[in-house]
Amino acid sequence: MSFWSRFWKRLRPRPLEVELASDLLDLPEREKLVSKISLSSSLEKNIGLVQEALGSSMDLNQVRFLCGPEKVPAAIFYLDGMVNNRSVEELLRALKIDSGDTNPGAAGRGAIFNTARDLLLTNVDVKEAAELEELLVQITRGMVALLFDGTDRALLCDTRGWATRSLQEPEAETVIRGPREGFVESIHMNTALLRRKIHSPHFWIMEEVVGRLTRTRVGIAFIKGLADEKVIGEVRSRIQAIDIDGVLESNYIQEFLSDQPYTLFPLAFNTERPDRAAAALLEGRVVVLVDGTPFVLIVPNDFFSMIQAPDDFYETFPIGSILRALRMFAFIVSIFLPGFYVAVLNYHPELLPQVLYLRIAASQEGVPLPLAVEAFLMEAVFELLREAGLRLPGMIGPAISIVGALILGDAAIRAGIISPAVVIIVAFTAIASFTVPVFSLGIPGRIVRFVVILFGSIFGLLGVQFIAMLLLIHLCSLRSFGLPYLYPFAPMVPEDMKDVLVRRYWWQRRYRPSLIGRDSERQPPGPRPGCRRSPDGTKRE
Amino acid sequence: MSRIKRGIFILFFAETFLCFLLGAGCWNLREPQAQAVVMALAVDLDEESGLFEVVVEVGVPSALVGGGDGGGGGGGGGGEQPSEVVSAKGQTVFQALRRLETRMPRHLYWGHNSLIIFSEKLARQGIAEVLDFFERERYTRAITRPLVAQSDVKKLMQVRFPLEGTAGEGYVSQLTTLEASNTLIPPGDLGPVIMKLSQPGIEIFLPSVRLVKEEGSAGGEGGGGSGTGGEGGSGGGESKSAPSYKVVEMAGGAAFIEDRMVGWLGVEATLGWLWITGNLIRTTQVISCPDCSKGLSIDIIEYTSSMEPMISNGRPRVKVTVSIDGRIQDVGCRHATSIEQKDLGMTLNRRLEESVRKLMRQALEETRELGSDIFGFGREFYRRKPKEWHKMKDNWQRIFQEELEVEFEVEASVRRVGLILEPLQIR
Amino acid sequence: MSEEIISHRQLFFIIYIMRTFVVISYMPTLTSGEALQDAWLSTLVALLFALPQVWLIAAMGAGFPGETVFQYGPRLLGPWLGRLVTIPFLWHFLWIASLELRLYAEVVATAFMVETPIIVVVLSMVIVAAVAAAAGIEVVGRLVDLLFPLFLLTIVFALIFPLIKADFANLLPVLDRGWGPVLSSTIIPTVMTSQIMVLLVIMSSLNRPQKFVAKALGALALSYTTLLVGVILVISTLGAEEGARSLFPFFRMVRSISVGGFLQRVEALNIIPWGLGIYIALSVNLWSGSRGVQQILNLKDYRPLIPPMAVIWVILSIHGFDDVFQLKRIILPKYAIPVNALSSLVPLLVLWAARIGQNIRRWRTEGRRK
Repeated sequence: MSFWSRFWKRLRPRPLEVELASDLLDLPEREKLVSKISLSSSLEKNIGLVQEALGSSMDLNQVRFLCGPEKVPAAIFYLDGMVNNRSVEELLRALKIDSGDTNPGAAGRGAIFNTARDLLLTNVDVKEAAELEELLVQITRGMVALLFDGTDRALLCDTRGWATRSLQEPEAETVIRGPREGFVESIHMNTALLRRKIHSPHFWIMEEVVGRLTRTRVGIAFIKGLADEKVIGEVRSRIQAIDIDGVLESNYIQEFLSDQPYTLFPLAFNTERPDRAAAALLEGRVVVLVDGTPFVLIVPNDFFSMIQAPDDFYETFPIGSILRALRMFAFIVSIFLPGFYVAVLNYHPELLPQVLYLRIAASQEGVPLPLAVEAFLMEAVFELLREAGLRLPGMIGPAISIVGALILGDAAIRAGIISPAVVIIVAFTAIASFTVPVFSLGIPGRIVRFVVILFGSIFGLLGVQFIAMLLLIHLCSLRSFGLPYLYPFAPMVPEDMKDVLVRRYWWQRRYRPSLIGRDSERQPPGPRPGCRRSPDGTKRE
Repeated sequence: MSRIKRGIFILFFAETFLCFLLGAGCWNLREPQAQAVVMALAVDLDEESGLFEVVVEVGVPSALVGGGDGGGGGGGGGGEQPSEVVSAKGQTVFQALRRLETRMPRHLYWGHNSLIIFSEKLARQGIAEVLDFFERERYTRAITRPLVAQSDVKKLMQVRFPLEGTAGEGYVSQLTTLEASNTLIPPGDLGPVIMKLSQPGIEIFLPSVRLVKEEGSAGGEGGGGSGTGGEGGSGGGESKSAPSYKVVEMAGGAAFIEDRMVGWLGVEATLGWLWITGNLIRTTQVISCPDCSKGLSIDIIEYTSSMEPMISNGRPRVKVTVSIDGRIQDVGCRHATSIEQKDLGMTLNRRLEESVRKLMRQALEETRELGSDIFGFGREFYRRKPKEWHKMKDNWQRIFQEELEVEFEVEASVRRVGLILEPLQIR
Repeated sequence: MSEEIISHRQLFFIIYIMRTFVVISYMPTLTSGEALQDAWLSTLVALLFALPQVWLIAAMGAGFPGETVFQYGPRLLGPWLGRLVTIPFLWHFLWIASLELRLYAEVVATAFMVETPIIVVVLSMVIVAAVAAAAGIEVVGRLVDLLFPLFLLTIVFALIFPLIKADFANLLPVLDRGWGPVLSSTIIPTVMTSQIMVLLVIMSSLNRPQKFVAKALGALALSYTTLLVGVILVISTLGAEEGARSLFPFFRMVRSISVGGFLQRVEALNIIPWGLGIYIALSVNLWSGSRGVQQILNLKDYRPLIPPMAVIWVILSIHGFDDVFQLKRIILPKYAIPVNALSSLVPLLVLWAARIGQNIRRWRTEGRRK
């Protein structure tokens, strides 16, 4: 506002309702204004304030009625769509009808407030508010605001209920065997899903609110006494320090939680699966739930957890271990294979057996592009196809990308623009990159792959080694909330390595990962199942 | 530093870095399409000029792999030649190769070359220079197989093998197959050759190769082998065009003194060498039946062979001990009892021992004529009796030819007879 | 500047990798001196000579937990003398590192990327080493934890395959020329052991360094054992004379591996442990050097020192040696012994003298008090 308008404003203070309705104020000024207003005793004034503050939004519903034998004027406000209609009806029934049974003395102006609060209302959560800001916030949360004439406070009743997605299997993380529930967008239901898995009273969920406009509810879940207090404290303080206008997805918070924000690698694990989150909690990690998104964050994070899939734990040991090794191998392949191919063919063809080299050279005859450019191009085309497949609606998407890839690839080979060997390599790389269970880990892979091709084409295997070393150094130096990223390989902790490389049987897993939580012993040393007990039942073999 | 300045700094570095990377070019980059893959190399000596002549066989990849996958204009194999033979001359091997490249549209790529053929002329003059090139050059490798040619080198390079695409591949397959199933040549690649050259008391012995004309025409040149002692190895095949010969034979070898060839050794001598040095991998000995003149083949399964140097009565002496384990493979005689009886079994063994001893003696004779200790007797003295060796080493060639006593001790036992016991009874 | 700690096991790996990579790549017991087929004996003798050296270094570091030589040096000898005596160590790190760098770059340039100017190879290695050093010794420790199995695996592979063609009779005759040649081949390896001097700086990052001395000796022994096996194999496959005249015998041996006609030219696989070795060795040297400079000059942080040191390294390794011959010559006893002695042994012995003197004094005063 200019100097003059402020000058005039100070000369002639205008009533607040008019202020609120004014178009001249910026958002911060509006917030400041609203925060200064308190409720008055006059119902009409309060109604006016609420309506002006909310701008008479189309979903703002208002019901006026007379309450109690004294017929005290009252009004409720709520946002249509945010409330459970039945609860509102119950509320109104209590106020309109049941209030008739109260003592006249308790139902007078001023007293009706307390009577309603203590005797009439049957909602599970009833709060009071004296400030307009609090009132408005709660209305936007789906509470019903109850105003009585003659009282300068309002009652807020919990009637929340809105449409939410039903529980489905998360699309991005499917398993063959295991629970098929996934988190949904409502933090309410997500906490419930977790509670259903961990019934311990030591499982705490602390609440924070983030975002000036979105006021998103964020839950910090952990098992008290198991999770590291320092981590909990750090998570809380970082979340509390977030000053942002809105939080729409957990990634917003993830970036604030990262120790090293410039890395490509995810320092917090995100998952849609309650069983993964519960497993992490049992290891002593901290889970962050964000309202409005089914993806929860898990800290501290390490690289090898992201290579594991829940399946590993639900099937038997050999297959779990083999698949895990396969996935690790696939991850490395997906980053290095195209670069390796280019490097070997261009600089070190003697590494290949003679026949193989001749075949590849034959398929390369007549192709106009240099090998490195071919590889780069095909990878780029593949990324294009992948992205296109994601964006196209449901049925058409996968079909078009498959058809596109097939036709494009085939036509290019026939025309002699691309050699078949490169197409094979690219396709294989793509398949390998899909085996990574956590999508966020695939992202650095996709980016680094191109850099590897670049260096492989310029310096051969030396270049590949160069990039590989830089990558390794970067990974070794990463820490997620104090946990080294490549734990348990980087600081080698042999006992914990057993769980990462191979998956031991459940009855062998005696200890929790030692660097994560506090209490190490997961289960007492037990016998193998199927052993015999001695006759008196005490000794086992 | 302010943020803007830092940004400019980083951009500048990134840009120079990228330019450096891309603009300066990739020095070592070799596109597969731009390479001519060398499949075989032969080195000859041009007598009049004293220049080295290198002959190179270069493979054509699309023809080699049958070209049916549509890569770059298919057209099916068979019409194209799978390889080309090019040659050039120069003062040193490397210079000759450089001249060669002026005749090729592509850069020569050595990485998959596994064969080197020396012509007899070159071998007699000395192969050290060629070997030196081989060792220094980064792309060549020690697993290359050497051959010494008894025929003209260029014709050898133009041979078409029916089952293999190029001559180089053909020779190598023939070499490896021969080695494994019916050893008639000294096995091994350039690695042991170079090692032996640098060691005292042993001379090198390289396999020989020659072209044999088609059956029906006069037999081939050189020390061919026939009769008892082994079969001539042949790798066969039809040809497509008239000039190529039909059969390539690898049997026997060339003995050297230091790096110069001194003579050929025939098949029997080579076999003897194989027995003495223990390099034999698989072979079949033919002996005659006890009471008829037909032959009886014995497959040698296992054997051990050792050389023991000693000084007895002031004279150097080597005892060669061989013990053989054999299996009867084919019987020419019809007498049912010819094999079973115990003392006939003994006769069998004695005959086997004698035939092996004969081979070994032949080897010793022929090498003594040439004066080349390819067995490594001298090396054994160096290893086990170094003090005596130091006295002998300057005269070793003479000692080997005249003074050295060699004793052969062979012990054979034929244990198995195959699936049938008696030969076919015709009634 | 945060506290950086590495574990005993990581330091063990570091020593092993640093030492093994150097000796395996150019096999000083075989290529220097006249031992030829007795080179394996030279290796054993060299181990005997090297152990006391390592003990001197490790025990010195163990006596001052948490401090680097640049910190306790001035304490032992007084601020000026102490600095004077410890500065040669810096030069030593520099010299050894640029030597190794040049060696490895030569291998690559000769055998792999022939046309690439050597500065590119050198730069690529120094950049990685600088990044690793800047990340701190703790990160290097984690790297080593991760890469050690790979290192070991490739070396084991390279040692197993030649067994097919190995003719162990090449090791005969034993000692036909007496012990003289054997001993002559032990000079260079013993001199090169001084690369372990970096321990004087790294041990400050250890917990309970006193217990580490035994492990340091163990790492050295293991490294020499690897060398022993390598030497025996090289002699058996290449022949003693051939091995002695090659620049890089191990590499040549790997080149001659051919398994089943399929697995050939595996020397590229051999470059991997070398590359790892050089990166670790370089980054450790770089880190120690910059820590040293930081402590001598009492600076706040060593990280900004790393880029200029890296540049000096590059320049030194490229221009310090004009050609391969010079490289070989500098490893000869004529030059190596004095340079080495002055820049590492002498200061070390001076420090020891001071420490013993201090101990004696302490013992005497305590004795008097009683």
